[in-house]
Amino acid sequence: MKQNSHPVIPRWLVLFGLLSLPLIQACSDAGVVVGNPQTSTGGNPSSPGSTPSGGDLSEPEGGGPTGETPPETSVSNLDPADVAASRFLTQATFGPTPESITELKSKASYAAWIDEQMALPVSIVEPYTRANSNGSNTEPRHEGWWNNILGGPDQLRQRVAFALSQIFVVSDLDYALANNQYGMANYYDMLSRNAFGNYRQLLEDVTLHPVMGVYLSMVRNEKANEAENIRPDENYAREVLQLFSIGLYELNNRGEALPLDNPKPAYTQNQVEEFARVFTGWNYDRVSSWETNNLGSGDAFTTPMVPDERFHDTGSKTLLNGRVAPAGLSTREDMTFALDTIFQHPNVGVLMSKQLIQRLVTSNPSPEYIERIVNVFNNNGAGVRGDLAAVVKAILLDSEAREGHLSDPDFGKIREPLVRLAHLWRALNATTGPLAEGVHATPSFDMHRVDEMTGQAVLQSKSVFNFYKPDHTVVPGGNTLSPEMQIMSEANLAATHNNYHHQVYRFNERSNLNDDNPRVTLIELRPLVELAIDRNALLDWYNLVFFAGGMPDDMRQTLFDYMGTLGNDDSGRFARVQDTLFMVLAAPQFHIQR
Amino acid sequence: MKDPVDKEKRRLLKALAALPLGSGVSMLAGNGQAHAMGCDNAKSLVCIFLAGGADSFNMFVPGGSRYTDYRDSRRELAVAENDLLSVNDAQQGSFGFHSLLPGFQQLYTEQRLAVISNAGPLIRPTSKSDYLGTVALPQSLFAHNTQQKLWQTGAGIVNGNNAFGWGGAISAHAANCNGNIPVAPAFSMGGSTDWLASAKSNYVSLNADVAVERMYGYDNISDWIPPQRLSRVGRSLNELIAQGQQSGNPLLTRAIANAVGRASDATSSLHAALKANPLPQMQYNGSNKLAKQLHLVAKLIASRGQLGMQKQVFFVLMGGWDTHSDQLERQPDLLTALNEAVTSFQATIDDINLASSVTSFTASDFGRTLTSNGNGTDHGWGGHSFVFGSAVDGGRVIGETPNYSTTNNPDDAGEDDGSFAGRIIPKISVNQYAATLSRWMGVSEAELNQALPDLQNFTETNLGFMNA
Repeated sequence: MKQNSHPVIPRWLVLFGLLSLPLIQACSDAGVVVGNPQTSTGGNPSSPGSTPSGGDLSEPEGGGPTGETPPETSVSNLDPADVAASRFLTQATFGPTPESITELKSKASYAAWIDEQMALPVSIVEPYTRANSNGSNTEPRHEGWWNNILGGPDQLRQRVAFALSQIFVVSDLDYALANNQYGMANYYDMLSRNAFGNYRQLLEDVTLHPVMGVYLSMVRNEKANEAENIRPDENYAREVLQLFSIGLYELNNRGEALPLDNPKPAYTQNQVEEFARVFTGWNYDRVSSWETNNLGSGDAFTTPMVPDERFHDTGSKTLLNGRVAPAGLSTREDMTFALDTIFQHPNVGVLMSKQLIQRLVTSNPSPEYIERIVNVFNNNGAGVRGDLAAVVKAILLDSEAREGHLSDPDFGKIREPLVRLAHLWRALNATTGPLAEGVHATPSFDMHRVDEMTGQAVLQSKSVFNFYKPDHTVVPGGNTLSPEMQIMSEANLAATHNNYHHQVYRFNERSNLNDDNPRVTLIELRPLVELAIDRNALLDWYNLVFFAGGMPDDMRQTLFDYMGTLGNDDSGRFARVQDTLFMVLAAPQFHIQR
Repeated sequence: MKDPVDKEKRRLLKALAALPLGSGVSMLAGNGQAHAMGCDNAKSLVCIFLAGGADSFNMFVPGGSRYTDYRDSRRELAVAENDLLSVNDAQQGSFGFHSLLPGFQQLYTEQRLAVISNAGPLIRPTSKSDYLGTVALPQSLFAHNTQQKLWQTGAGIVNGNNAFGWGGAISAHAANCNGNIPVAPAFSMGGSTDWLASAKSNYVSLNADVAVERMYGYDNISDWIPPQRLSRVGRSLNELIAQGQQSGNPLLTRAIANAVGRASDATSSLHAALKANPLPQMQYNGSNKLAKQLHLVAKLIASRGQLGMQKQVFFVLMGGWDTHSDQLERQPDLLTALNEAVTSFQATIDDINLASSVTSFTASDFGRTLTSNGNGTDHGWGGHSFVFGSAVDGGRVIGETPNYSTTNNPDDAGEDDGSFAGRIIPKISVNQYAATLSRWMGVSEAELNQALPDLQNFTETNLGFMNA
């Protein structure tokens, strides 16, 4: 049994009677009895009433294991430092594992861990995609991504890059991009490389990336031809303003659009038209003419677009905040002027900060939290605006990220479906099944229907508005935001639920696989089976790794009681693990990250 | 030990939880409600949302002398006059459907399809001088997400008080008619939608690309969990949901617990009904995603009896309409798929003899600019919609044909320098369109006025395209 120093609960919280919060109980050590004062501490030996003959024997419904043992209460017994580390890694990685928790605790501070993470080499997707796809096959890009997510050491960068891919959205559901997988992979790697760079550079790399050029039709956008009634394409101009930088409405640094009943637009249709004129004259690199269909040897989608002055509108343009791009600027000078103008708009830091907080930490950050991060975006302390490394660090180390769950019941978020799946696979050492010499004879996790199953797949949203909108509310017309709730549909919930069922019961290391399951991902249950001799030990493992100490008491008791109906020999313990793991993964409680 | 929580008990707990997080069943519902006002005839309404902003000015084109203006404004994007599928309107003369929409032409000729000309979000009737002046305009015109929201809610400004969809108002009425049944009467095959958002009733969100599966572990379903354990696993799963639904929990916890519970209940009921009504007669190309969605809709309409539903509301969605570039290459595929899906769906509904109780209609973010940006079009405002079914008083064009002229065009919102853009100011409000369809579904005037507060700003609140 672990002996801990002190619980992380401030004494005043205890005094103010918030004892019923399950999190506080989970954070408390054995020396502070909360919630169930009549109960002794955890660390019970094996279930007293277990039947020796295996997992399939059951008592009559409603009965205890023997009917003679008094009801037993299960109590969490976790090291507060482990719990804190697990919470942090839930926000900063694709899910904590026992190993990553130990590793984090070995660092001098969370800040030191962040610094080390940011210095790690970038895990990229393009080489794997090139090696395994002919350019049209989409699967290798996903496989390469999963390999990085599950095994890449640069977890923080990957988590942030995934967040950025949901802000600077491109999707190969678009017909023109499905056949450009090298470009898609290159775009994602561009986000990864910029994850801890400067927003201004990121915005420019996004703007000039040929994949974005195709997705929002800026490539080959030409100046107006009045004789033919042809105007510049407004697509990129509108979305770069609405989605990638300043948003629809004027915002204060607390993230509030005012006045609430009819907020003031941040730009007008006229300004969209002016920006559309700015973004004229860009073409694929190394093509022989403006409109040729021959894009060369395949690098057209992996090198930035280049200007062709003949098609650029050189007139002056009135942009934001009264800034006027003077007449006569070149294609590139105009773009630089326009992106600088956007970058200086006070909304930029607000939009970026709030959305990054939502992706990593909580759906409803307090105005004060937003403002603290916006201040870092606007000035990293060394006079630099747009320093994303400083922003990410500030988001994760902020007092609200670290302790908001103790005081605010609405703190946290619905876990993104892909992050939830990644967490399971990371925590239980997922491997490719023996029959999985896959489509490309490469290690591949089961990618079939990942988007249908989860409602989410990397760079595959249905539109530039991402899988969900940042202002989606839990209740129509309500105030509490939950973007991810937008894809918690009956269809997605049923599909993910059944996938977890199959994962637990059909695809683990004891499974007898046959040719019907050629490509599957196996999880390893053995470490849990060893723990299952002691029901509380198994529950503590779930509580630490999957709930960061936040598994509610009543849920814990349900799992504890259920396991009491099963035996404690190997098959009984295996049954305990399978059934409770399935319950954990299926439980509404596991859908929430706090 | 705790009492086991079985499914019925969970339902009861859910019913106690506050709506709309609670059950799929309207809290207004009670036994015998099926004879309430506006519930007499079984009816289903289908919204076909063309996401991205469909270029409907190329789907339905004016003929005769007005064709010249159309061609001059659209230039290389214009549909050739010879390619148009001709139809006639008694008042306004000749028109033509795009050559890839023969099914639309056929339904129009059968007087089962009406064209709603130049409709869009409006707070009040708006002229060009109103637009340039101080008349209240819908919020954030020309942006996809806000214009979808305005179309689907009927509101001019989207804030907390009017975030509910007019489909949601119909669905609340439907839930009231249906009485106490386990599945909500509203379905989306297109993911989350504001159209069905309601304070009183939920909607079921299904994925037409895969069969509706029941959830393993619940209801004793699993070939893998040994039978001796299965019922107890199911009881524990239900217990975890009930724990999540407890009223003292944070909103997010209750919301996700309710969502999981609803998913289990809905998939269980729907699985059986859908199996009984496969409707194999609906034929379409297997890659036609809209047709797949409408096939599922048809099966659910055929399942009205099994599901105990007197009224149903459906939302299906087809993407890809945001044709900023390569419009001439993209549009044919879009129109072909739309025509195939609509034709095959209507034929199936005809086959099962429900055509007079099923009405379908199209809507989209906005119409697109008449002018080209080189090889595509940009975000506009007004556009055409199409309503079809045997209850439609069709073969008619409802509303004025917009002016297509490139000079001094009174219908053009225009460019900032005053030149022609072909961003057409709508003449028919979404509110008028919505009210006409809602009344057909039996929604009362009081419910209508609540759902569509701006309706009162328009004199004509019934566009007359539905047979009584």
